[in-house]
Amino acid sequence: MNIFHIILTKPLLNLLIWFYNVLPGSDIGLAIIAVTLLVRLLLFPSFQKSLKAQKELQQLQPKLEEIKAKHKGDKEAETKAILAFYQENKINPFSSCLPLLVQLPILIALYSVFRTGLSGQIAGELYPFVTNPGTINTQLFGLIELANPNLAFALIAGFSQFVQSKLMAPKIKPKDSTASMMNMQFTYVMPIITVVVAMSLPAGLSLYWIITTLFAIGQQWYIMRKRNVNA
Amino acid sequence: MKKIFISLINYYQRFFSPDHSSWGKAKYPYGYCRFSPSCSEYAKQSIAADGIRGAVRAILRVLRCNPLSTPAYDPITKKA
Repeated sequence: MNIFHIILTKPLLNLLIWFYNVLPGSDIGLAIIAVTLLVRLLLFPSFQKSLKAQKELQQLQPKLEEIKAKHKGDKEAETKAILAFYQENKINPFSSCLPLLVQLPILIALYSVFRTGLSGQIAGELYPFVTNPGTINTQLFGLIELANPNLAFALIAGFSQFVQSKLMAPKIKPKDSTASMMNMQFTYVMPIITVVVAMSLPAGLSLYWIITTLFAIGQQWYIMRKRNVNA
Repeated sequence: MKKIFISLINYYQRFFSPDHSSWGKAKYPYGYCRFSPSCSEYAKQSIAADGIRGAVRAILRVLRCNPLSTPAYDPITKKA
Protein backbone atom coordinates (compact mmCIF):
# COMPACT_ATOMS: atom_id res chain seq x y z
CA MET A 1 0.00 0.00 0.00
CA ASN A 2 1.81 3.06 -1.13
CA ILE A 3 0.51 6.54 -1.79
CA PHE A 4 0.71 6.20 -5.56
CA HIS A 5 -1.60 3.22 -5.35
CA ILE A 6 -4.12 4.91 -3.05
CA ILE A 7 -4.50 8.21 -4.88
CA LEU A 8 -4.06 7.07 -8.49
CA THR A 9 -4.14 3.39 -9.31
CA LYS A 10 -7.01 2.37 -7.03
CA PRO A 11 -9.49 5.12 -8.05
CA LEU A 12 -8.72 4.52 -11.73
CA LEU A 13 -9.16 0.77 -11.33
CA ASN A 14 -12.52 1.34 -9.67
CA LEU A 15 -13.49 3.67 -12.49
CA LEU A 16 -12.56 0.98 -14.99
CA ILE A 17 -14.61 -1.71 -13.24
CA TRP A 18 -17.49 0.73 -12.79
CA PHE A 19 -17.53 1.35 -16.55
CA TYR A 20 -17.29 -2.40 -17.06
CA ASN A 21 -20.41 -2.89 -14.95
CA VAL A 22 -22.35 0.01 -16.43
CA LEU A 23 -21.56 -0.21 -20.13
CA PRO A 24 -23.58 -2.72 -22.14
CA GLY A 25 -22.06 -6.06 -23.10
CA SER A 26 -19.71 -6.47 -20.10
CA ASP A 27 -16.79 -5.64 -22.34
CA ILE A 28 -13.43 -4.69 -20.79
CA GLY A 29 -12.44 -3.24 -24.16
CA LEU A 30 -15.24 -0.69 -24.03
CA ALA A 31 -14.36 0.12 -20.42
CA ILE A 32 -10.72 0.73 -21.41
CA ILE A 33 -11.84 3.04 -24.22
CA ALA A 34 -14.17 4.92 -21.86
CA VAL A 35 -11.51 5.45 -19.17
CA THR A 36 -8.92 6.53 -21.74
CA LEU A 37 -11.25 9.07 -23.32
CA LEU A 38 -12.33 10.43 -19.95
CA VAL A 39 -8.76 10.95 -18.74
CA ARG A 40 -7.80 12.52 -22.05
CA LEU A 41 -10.78 14.89 -21.88
CA LEU A 42 -9.78 15.95 -18.37
CA LEU A 43 -6.27 16.74 -19.58
CA PHE A 44 -7.65 18.46 -22.68
CA PRO A 45 -7.85 22.11 -21.52
CA SER A 46 -4.14 22.35 -20.70
CA PHE A 47 -3.17 20.99 -24.14
CA GLN A 48 -5.68 23.23 -25.84
CA LYS A 49 -4.49 26.46 -24.25
CA SER A 50 -0.86 25.99 -25.14
CA LEU A 51 -1.66 25.02 -28.72
CA LYS A 52 -3.78 28.13 -29.14
CA ALA A 53 -1.10 30.46 -27.82
CA GLN A 54 1.44 28.86 -30.15
CA LYS A 55 -0.88 29.65 -33.02
CA GLU A 56 -1.21 33.31 -32.08
CA LEU A 57 2.51 33.59 -31.77
CA GLN A 58 3.10 32.38 -35.28
CA GLN A 59 1.48 35.56 -36.54
CA LEU A 60 3.80 37.71 -34.44
CA GLN A 61 6.94 35.86 -35.39
CA PRO A 62 8.60 38.57 -37.53
CA LYS A 63 8.58 40.99 -34.61
CA LEU A 64 9.96 38.33 -32.33
CA GLU A 65 12.82 37.64 -34.69
CA GLU A 66 13.61 41.37 -34.63
CA ILE A 67 13.85 41.35 -30.85
CA LYS A 68 16.03 38.27 -30.88
CA ALA A 69 18.42 39.82 -33.40
CA LYS A 70 18.64 43.00 -31.35
CA HIS A 71 19.73 41.24 -28.18
CA LYS A 72 21.89 38.63 -29.76
CA GLY A 73 24.33 37.03 -27.34
CA ASP A 74 22.70 38.41 -24.24
CA LYS A 75 20.29 35.74 -23.10
CA GLU A 76 19.08 37.67 -20.08
CA ALA A 77 18.24 40.87 -21.97
CA GLU A 78 16.66 38.86 -24.75
CA THR A 79 14.39 36.95 -22.40
CA LYS A 80 13.36 40.14 -20.63
CA ALA A 81 12.58 41.91 -23.90
CA ILE A 82 10.55 38.97 -25.17
CA LEU A 83 8.55 38.72 -21.97
CA ALA A 84 7.80 42.46 -22.16
CA PHE A 85 6.71 41.97 -25.76
CA TYR A 86 4.31 39.19 -24.74
CA GLN A 87 2.84 41.43 -22.08
CA GLU A 88 2.27 44.26 -24.54
CA ASN A 89 0.44 41.92 -26.88
CA LYS A 90 -1.46 40.32 -24.01
CA ILE A 91 -0.46 36.81 -24.85
CA ASN A 92 1.01 34.12 -22.70
CA PRO A 93 2.49 31.42 -24.85
CA PHE A 94 3.90 29.49 -21.98
CA SER A 95 2.70 26.40 -20.35
CA SER A 96 4.23 25.31 -17.12
CA CYS A 97 6.20 22.36 -15.96
CA LEU A 98 4.14 21.35 -12.95
CA PRO A 99 1.01 20.21 -14.87
CA LEU A 100 3.28 18.28 -17.22
CA LEU A 101 4.80 16.40 -14.32
CA VAL A 102 1.35 15.71 -12.90
CA GLN A 103 0.15 14.10 -16.14
CA LEU A 104 2.98 11.63 -16.34
CA PRO A 105 2.06 9.58 -13.24
CA ILE A 106 -1.56 9.47 -14.41
CA LEU A 107 -0.56 7.92 -17.71
CA ILE A 108 1.72 5.42 -15.98
CA ALA A 109 -1.07 4.55 -13.54
CA LEU A 110 -3.48 3.93 -16.42
CA TYR A 111 -1.08 1.40 -17.84
CA SER A 112 -0.92 -0.62 -14.65
CA VAL A 113 -4.66 -0.28 -14.07
CA PHE A 114 -5.46 -1.81 -17.45
CA ARG A 115 -2.99 -4.57 -16.78
CA THR A 116 -4.66 -5.39 -13.48
CA GLY A 117 -8.14 -5.13 -15.00
CA LEU A 118 -7.23 -7.55 -17.77
CA SER A 119 -5.65 -10.03 -15.39
CA GLY A 120 -8.85 -10.02 -13.33
CA GLN A 121 -7.01 -9.72 -10.02
CA ILE A 122 -9.28 -7.06 -8.59
CA ALA A 123 -10.48 -8.68 -5.38
CA GLY A 124 -9.98 -6.37 -2.41
CA GLU A 125 -9.24 -3.40 -4.65
CA LEU A 126 -12.81 -2.22 -5.13
CA TYR A 127 -14.65 0.46 -3.18
CA PRO A 128 -17.87 -0.67 -1.43
CA PHE A 129 -20.12 0.99 -4.05
CA VAL A 130 -18.47 -0.74 -7.00
CA THR A 131 -19.80 -4.27 -7.41
CA ASN A 132 -17.33 -7.00 -8.18
CA PRO A 133 -18.33 -8.45 -11.55
CA GLY A 134 -16.71 -11.77 -10.68
CA THR A 135 -14.88 -12.98 -13.74
CA ILE A 136 -13.98 -10.36 -16.30
CA ASN A 137 -14.78 -10.84 -19.95
CA THR A 138 -11.56 -9.83 -21.67
CA GLN A 139 -12.87 -9.78 -25.22
CA LEU A 140 -13.60 -6.71 -27.30
CA PHE A 141 -17.03 -7.06 -28.99
CA GLY A 142 -16.72 -10.79 -28.21
CA LEU A 143 -14.15 -11.06 -30.99
CA ILE A 144 -10.71 -9.94 -29.95
CA GLU A 145 -9.01 -11.35 -26.89
CA LEU A 146 -7.49 -8.39 -25.07
CA ALA A 147 -5.56 -10.28 -22.41
CA ASN A 148 -3.21 -11.79 -25.00
CA PRO A 149 -0.87 -9.99 -27.39
CA ASN A 150 -2.40 -9.17 -30.75
CA LEU A 151 -0.24 -8.43 -33.79
CA ALA A 152 -2.88 -6.40 -35.65
CA PHE A 153 -3.41 -4.12 -32.64
CA ALA A 154 0.33 -3.65 -32.25
CA LEU A 155 0.63 -2.67 -35.90
CA ILE A 156 -2.29 -0.24 -35.69
CA ALA A 157 -0.76 1.33 -32.58
CA GLY A 158 2.56 1.82 -34.39
CA PHE A 159 0.89 3.18 -37.49
CA SER A 160 -1.28 5.70 -35.65
CA GLN A 161 1.81 6.91 -33.83
CA PHE A 162 3.56 7.31 -37.17
CA VAL A 163 0.65 9.40 -38.46
CA GLN A 164 0.77 11.53 -35.36
CA SER A 165 4.47 12.32 -35.60
CA LYS A 166 4.06 13.04 -39.31
CA LEU A 167 1.40 15.58 -38.40
CA MET A 168 3.55 17.05 -35.67
CA ALA A 169 6.71 17.34 -37.75
CA PRO A 170 7.69 20.93 -38.55
CA LYS A 171 6.78 22.31 -41.95
CA ILE A 172 10.21 23.84 -42.38
CA LYS A 173 13.08 21.38 -42.31
CA PRO A 174 15.45 22.23 -39.47
CA LYS A 175 18.82 23.42 -40.71
CA ASP A 176 21.21 21.53 -38.52
CA SER A 177 21.58 17.85 -39.25
CA THR A 178 21.31 16.54 -35.67
CA ALA A 179 17.85 18.05 -35.33
CA SER A 180 16.61 16.56 -38.57
CA MET A 181 18.13 13.22 -37.60
CA MET A 182 16.16 13.35 -34.37
CA ASN A 183 13.00 14.16 -36.27
CA MET A 184 13.61 11.19 -38.52
CA GLN A 185 14.09 8.98 -35.49
CA PHE A 186 10.88 10.17 -33.94
CA THR A 187 8.87 9.67 -37.07
CA TYR A 188 10.18 6.26 -38.06
CA VAL A 189 11.98 4.59 -35.17
CA MET A 190 9.57 5.30 -32.32
CA PRO A 191 6.55 3.71 -34.06
CA ILE A 192 8.63 0.61 -34.74
CA ILE A 193 9.60 0.42 -31.08
CA THR A 194 5.92 0.78 -30.22
CA VAL A 195 5.05 -2.18 -32.44
CA VAL A 196 7.79 -4.34 -30.97
CA VAL A 197 6.83 -3.54 -27.38
CA ALA A 198 3.09 -3.83 -28.06
CA MET A 199 3.57 -7.25 -29.64
CA SER A 200 4.53 -8.68 -26.27
CA LEU A 201 1.92 -6.85 -24.19
CA PRO A 202 -1.78 -7.65 -23.71
CA ALA A 203 -3.78 -6.23 -26.62
CA GLY A 204 -5.80 -4.17 -24.13
CA LEU A 205 -2.75 -1.98 -23.62
CA SER A 206 -2.29 -1.57 -27.37
CA LEU A 207 -5.93 -0.55 -27.48
CA TYR A 208 -5.22 2.10 -24.86
CA TRP A 209 -2.28 3.36 -26.89
CA ILE A 210 -4.35 3.46 -30.09
CA ILE A 211 -7.17 5.45 -28.46
CA THR A 212 -4.75 7.91 -26.87
CA THR A 213 -2.93 8.51 -30.15
CA LEU A 214 -6.14 8.85 -32.16
CA PHE A 215 -7.35 11.38 -29.62
CA ALA A 216 -4.14 13.39 -30.02
CA ILE A 217 -4.41 13.23 -33.81
CA GLY A 218 -8.01 14.46 -33.68
CA GLN A 219 -7.02 17.31 -31.40
CA GLN A 220 -4.19 18.34 -33.65
CA TRP A 221 -6.32 18.11 -36.75
CA TYR A 222 -8.96 20.29 -35.07
CA ILE A 223 -6.43 23.00 -34.23
CA MET A 224 -4.87 22.96 -37.69
CA ARG A 225 -8.25 23.21 -39.37
CA LYS A 226 -9.12 26.24 -37.25
CA ARG A 227 -5.83 27.87 -38.17
CA ASN A 228 -6.59 27.50 -41.87
CA VAL A 229 -10.01 29.09 -41.42
CA ASN A 230 -8.46 32.11 -39.70
CA ALA A 231 -5.72 32.61 -42.25
CA MET B 1 25.34 10.64 -7.79
CA LYS B 2 25.42 14.14 -9.22
CA LYS B 3 26.56 12.72 -12.51
CA ILE B 4 23.74 10.19 -12.62
CA PHE B 5 21.10 12.85 -12.09
CA ILE B 6 22.64 15.17 -14.62
CA SER B 7 22.81 12.47 -17.26
CA LEU B 8 19.19 11.58 -16.53
CA ILE B 9 18.26 15.21 -17.13
CA ASN B 10 20.29 15.20 -20.32
CA TYR B 11 18.39 12.15 -21.46
CA TYR B 12 15.10 13.81 -20.60
CA GLN B 13 16.09 16.96 -22.49
CA ARG B 14 17.05 14.99 -25.53
CA PHE B 15 13.96 12.89 -25.89
CA PHE B 16 11.10 14.14 -23.74
CA SER B 17 11.49 17.82 -22.95
CA PRO B 18 9.04 20.14 -24.73
CA ASP B 19 11.73 22.81 -24.50
CA HIS B 20 14.89 21.01 -25.58
CA SER B 21 14.04 17.92 -27.60
CA SER B 22 13.68 18.15 -31.34
CA TRP B 23 9.97 17.34 -31.30
CA GLY B 24 9.50 19.92 -28.55
CA LYS B 25 11.24 22.59 -30.59
CA ALA B 26 8.98 21.73 -33.51
CA LYS B 27 5.82 21.80 -31.49
CA TYR B 28 6.65 24.74 -29.24
CA PRO B 29 9.00 26.95 -31.26
CA TYR B 30 8.69 29.73 -28.69
CA GLY B 31 9.43 27.56 -25.71
CA TYR B 32 7.23 25.67 -23.33
CA CYS B 33 8.38 26.53 -19.85
CA ARG B 34 7.32 29.91 -18.48
CA PHE B 35 10.68 30.53 -16.95
CA SER B 36 14.05 31.03 -18.50
CA PRO B 37 16.20 28.97 -18.18
CA SER B 38 13.70 26.12 -18.43
CA CYS B 39 13.00 23.96 -15.40
CA SER B 40 15.19 21.09 -16.58
CA GLU B 41 18.07 23.39 -17.46
CA TYR B 42 17.66 25.07 -14.09
CA ALA B 43 17.72 21.70 -12.35
CA LYS B 44 20.84 20.69 -14.23
CA GLN B 45 22.73 23.83 -13.30
CA SER B 46 21.44 23.74 -9.76
CA ILE B 47 22.44 20.13 -9.12
CA ALA B 48 25.80 20.67 -10.76
CA ALA B 49 26.44 23.60 -8.45
CA ASP B 50 25.05 22.38 -5.12
CA GLY B 51 24.21 18.67 -5.28
CA ILE B 52 21.35 17.63 -2.99
CA ARG B 53 20.55 21.17 -1.90
CA GLY B 54 20.53 22.11 -5.54
CA ALA B 55 18.03 19.34 -6.21
CA VAL B 56 15.74 20.70 -3.51
CA ARG B 57 15.97 24.12 -5.12
CA ALA B 58 15.09 22.57 -8.48
CA ILE B 59 12.00 20.90 -7.01
CA LEU B 60 10.88 24.25 -5.60
CA ARG B 61 11.36 25.73 -9.04
CA VAL B 62 9.11 23.14 -10.66
CA LEU B 63 6.46 23.83 -8.01
CA ARG B 64 6.78 27.51 -8.87
CA CYS B 65 6.31 26.71 -12.53
CA ASN B 66 2.52 26.55 -12.44
CA PRO B 67 -0.20 28.38 -14.37
CA LEU B 68 -0.56 31.00 -11.64
CA SER B 69 2.98 32.32 -11.73
CA THR B 70 4.24 35.09 -13.99
CA PRO B 71 6.76 34.12 -16.69
CA ALA B 72 10.17 35.51 -15.82
CA TYR B 73 13.88 35.31 -16.24
CA ASP B 74 14.77 33.20 -13.22
CA PRO B 75 18.35 31.94 -13.11
CA ILE B 76 19.80 30.12 -10.13
CA THR B 77 21.22 32.36 -7.47
CA LYS B 78 24.59 31.50 -6.00
CA LYS B 79 23.58 30.09 -2.61
CA ALA B 80 21.29 27.10 -2.35
